[in-house]
Amino acid sequence: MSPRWRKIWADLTVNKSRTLLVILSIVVGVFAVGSITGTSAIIDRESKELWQSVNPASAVIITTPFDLSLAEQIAAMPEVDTVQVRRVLNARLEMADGTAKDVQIFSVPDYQNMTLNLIQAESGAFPPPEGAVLIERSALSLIDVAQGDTLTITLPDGTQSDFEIGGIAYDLSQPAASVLDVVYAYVSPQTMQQLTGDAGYNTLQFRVSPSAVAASGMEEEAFTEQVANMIRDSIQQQGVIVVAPPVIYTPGEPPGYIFIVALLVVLGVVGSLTFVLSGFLIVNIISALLVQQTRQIGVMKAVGARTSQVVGMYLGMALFFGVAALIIALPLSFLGARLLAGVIGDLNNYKITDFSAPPSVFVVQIVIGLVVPVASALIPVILGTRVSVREALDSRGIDTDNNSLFDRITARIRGVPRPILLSFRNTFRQKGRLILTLMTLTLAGAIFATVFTVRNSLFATLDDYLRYENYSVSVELDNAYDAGTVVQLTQSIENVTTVETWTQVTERFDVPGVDEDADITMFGLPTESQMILPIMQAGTWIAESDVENGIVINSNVAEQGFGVGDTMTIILRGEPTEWQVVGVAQAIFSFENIAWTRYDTLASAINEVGLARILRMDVSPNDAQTQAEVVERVSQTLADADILVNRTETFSALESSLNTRFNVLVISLLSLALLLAVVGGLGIAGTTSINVIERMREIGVMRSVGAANYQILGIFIVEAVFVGMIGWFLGSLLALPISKTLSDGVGNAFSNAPLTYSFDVSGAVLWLVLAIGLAVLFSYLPSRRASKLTLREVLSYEG
Amino acid sequence: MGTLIELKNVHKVYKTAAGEFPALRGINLSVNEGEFVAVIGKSGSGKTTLINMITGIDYPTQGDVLIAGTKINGMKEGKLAQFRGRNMGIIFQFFQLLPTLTAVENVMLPMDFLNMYSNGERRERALMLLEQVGLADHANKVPSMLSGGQQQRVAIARALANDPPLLLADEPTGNLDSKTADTIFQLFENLINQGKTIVMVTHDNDLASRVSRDLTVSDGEIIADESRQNRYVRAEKSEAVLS
Repeated sequence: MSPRWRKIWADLTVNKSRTLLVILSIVVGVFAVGSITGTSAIIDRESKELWQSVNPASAVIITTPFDLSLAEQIAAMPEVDTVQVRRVLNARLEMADGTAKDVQIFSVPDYQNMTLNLIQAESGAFPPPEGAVLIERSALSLIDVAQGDTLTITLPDGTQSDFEIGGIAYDLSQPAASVLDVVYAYVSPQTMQQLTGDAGYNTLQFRVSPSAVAASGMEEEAFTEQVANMIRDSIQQQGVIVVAPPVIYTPGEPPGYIFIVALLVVLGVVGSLTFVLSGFLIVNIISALLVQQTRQIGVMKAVGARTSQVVGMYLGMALFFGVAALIIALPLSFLGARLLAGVIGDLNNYKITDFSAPPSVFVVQIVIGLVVPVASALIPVILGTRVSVREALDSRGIDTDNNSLFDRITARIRGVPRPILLSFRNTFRQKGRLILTLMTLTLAGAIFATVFTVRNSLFATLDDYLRYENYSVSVELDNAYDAGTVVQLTQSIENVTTVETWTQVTERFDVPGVDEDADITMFGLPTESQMILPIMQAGTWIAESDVENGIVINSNVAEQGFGVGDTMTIILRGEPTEWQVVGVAQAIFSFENIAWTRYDTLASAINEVGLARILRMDVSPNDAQTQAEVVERVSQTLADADILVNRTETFSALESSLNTRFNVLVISLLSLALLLAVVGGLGIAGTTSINVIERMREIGVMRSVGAANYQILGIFIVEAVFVGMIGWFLGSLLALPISKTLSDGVGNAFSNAPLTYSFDVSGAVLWLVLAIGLAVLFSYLPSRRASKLTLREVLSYEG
Repeated sequence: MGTLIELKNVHKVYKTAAGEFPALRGINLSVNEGEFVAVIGKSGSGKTTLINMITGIDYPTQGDVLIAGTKINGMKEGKLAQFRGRNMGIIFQFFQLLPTLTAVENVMLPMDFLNMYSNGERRERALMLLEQVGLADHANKVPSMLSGGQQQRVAIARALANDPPLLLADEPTGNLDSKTADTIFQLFENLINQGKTIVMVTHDNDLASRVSRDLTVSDGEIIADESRQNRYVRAEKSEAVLS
């Protein structure tokens, strides 16, 4: 090794802790970015390949039962390429512990010749044998069953049937069972007919014709929406009711993909910021090193080194930091990507088999791992080595000749103990260093507080949502039934305290300025209902309005050009009806268009006066167990009266399902907060220890005039506390706009509305404790080391 | 003997908080190859500034500095560094060895920067130079393991690394005891015998008396420029007067 590289190697090894600090900070940055880009690449490749492998549909329409001739009719449309039908039956799965779980039972006409959204064999029998069920693979994490076990399923009419688990299937078109807390089961068409009593289907999946898309000149997604509306109108004219707005898939993207992209973007933004922090640390440490080595730079130049050679040496050092960090970070980020991709895959029912990251991910990591340290070091190195030989040889290490207004003001401070005063003045002595240190601390603190605030805002939004869904149990009937009978049957059920009957209809409304109309789900509810507590953005809730045809719309509808006082035209049962908007409620965790009105008004408009489609109940005690038990009793009671239940939901299950959905984001954000704490901590460690090391000679001078070691320690620790507090204060201020922006972004990405912003003071306080603690620790360690050196050693110290 | 160093009407003015300070005032100087020149004077007289003009470490406010016929003031910094590395060896009062390099690595450093000699030859030459200064046994020690005199000898070996014709030393013995200073001086005399040219700033009048020429600087001007021969003549005259 040539002497100049030998010198750089020696500089790296002589202060191992400094070298380690820098390397670790880059490791964390590369790890964060590498894990996220790796996850992104794995998920992107695997999910899209998987999705293509199941012949994805363009859209899905859920209806009341229809027969295959209708499907054939749809398939004959020139805009349609392929049609696939399914029958879905909502039932209850009796668990061994006496509770029950929702189960969705599917069947298709011919499992072996499916055309769209293929259901694939995972293990065991396929297609499902007569009298047996196949269980979707993701349900295995929800219920403790295995192939060969027997399941007891309670049908909507209350009858129970036992089914043997004939095998395990994979149905990518369904979200993971754990997310919706629903078990998916698959039976033969014959078995389904036995269960439902008819041979109809109620789910129409179709793929648009590529040539028709091309001829339309439209984007595929917009064209699909147009065709879905055509199909919807066509089948409604034939007496089949479309029970929910059509689901339009984004071409090439599997279900849930948009949320994953949003999640990865959020994580990517925060992860990249850790790299910025690493950059600050490198700038700080290289700047300090160059200040310490100014004389050495002068000597090297005096013996013939060109500035470019000296620049090359120190950039070589930065490059070494990057290379060393990459050696550690690359395998770690590979593991991180594998872990995160696995979690995301499980949550979205992506059966990922190949966790290998593409070479581009490694290239990205290598490039940023090498470029960021060198780029960060570039300016301090150029500035530090541009010094002339004479200036370099005259250098006293650190600048003490400042005489700014600030210095003059601090010089006038009186009445403060001298060591505290010294700490205070020292804090502002090297302003360039202080600015860099504060930038590191501020950014780290701001992001740390932001991460906690986004997490807090997510929980606040979740609370809002759960307040909005202010019921214990919701029961959706398969048709409209006499409300009086339903109330009479259910009100006396054990633990039920209140019962409300609602009506519901999914129809269409005219969107101003747009040719196509849009879907809307309308709820008719008692005026005095307390089972929904909306967050009003404008106007009043229906209870406070005396407008006969008044409706409250959610913010999704409002965004399409409606406000309080406007009139909406909604087509109900084929007839246009006029409604006056009296209020706008915030949409929470929903992309759907929703409107609420008085029960009487809606029931009358759809000719269902005195009938109910939804039951909302309160129970006491209001716990998960009681709610589940009430669902069982209500389902059974209604079934006994020939009132069929389509779907039930308990507040606890809803809460648990939402928590599951957001856990991955919350856990990822907290993991990033941990990484930030590490990088930010390394930043504090680096900068505070530099301050001490740089003043080794001063420590010697102070000791030579009688300062005890504890007094010297005190001066540095108080200085560290000053810096930590200023950084914390600025970081907390900066966190306000950053966290608001990120909360809004996360909310918009996940639910089409900003999150309920809730600044997390505990995150900021935690960072204060962490920042000051680390600043004190990393001031204490080098000053303690300095105190162990002899006076002669300290006075001759050369970094 | 050709002229190696030539200063023509060199002025140097420093701007300080207290105002302008003229460190050199119209210096004219020629030093021939093979001369051993001592620059003497009180603190603040301008000795170090003068030597910094010759090395190119500092530049004149007015006038020209020529080394071996090449004007170095106005030369670009990178080119000057290479020129200095090839043509001059500099020895500092406080040795200025790189603390993390061993003695032999410190000596190899100028060869490395100037890309002089092959990789294998550099170590060989550095060891030879250390042997020349009597430190072959200490080649692999870092500076902190060497005494002041030993460090200065390593610095001399480093100054000779690229075999420059000119050595410039700023108070090379100022930080050493008299016995060690004498050893260093003997090294310089050997180098003069080998054909090198040395310009040395010193406070030590005894050492100054042993050089071939001494320049006395005061208030930024050369007030005396005496060769050894002139000193003998002057000494003889003084003795005659006294007797």
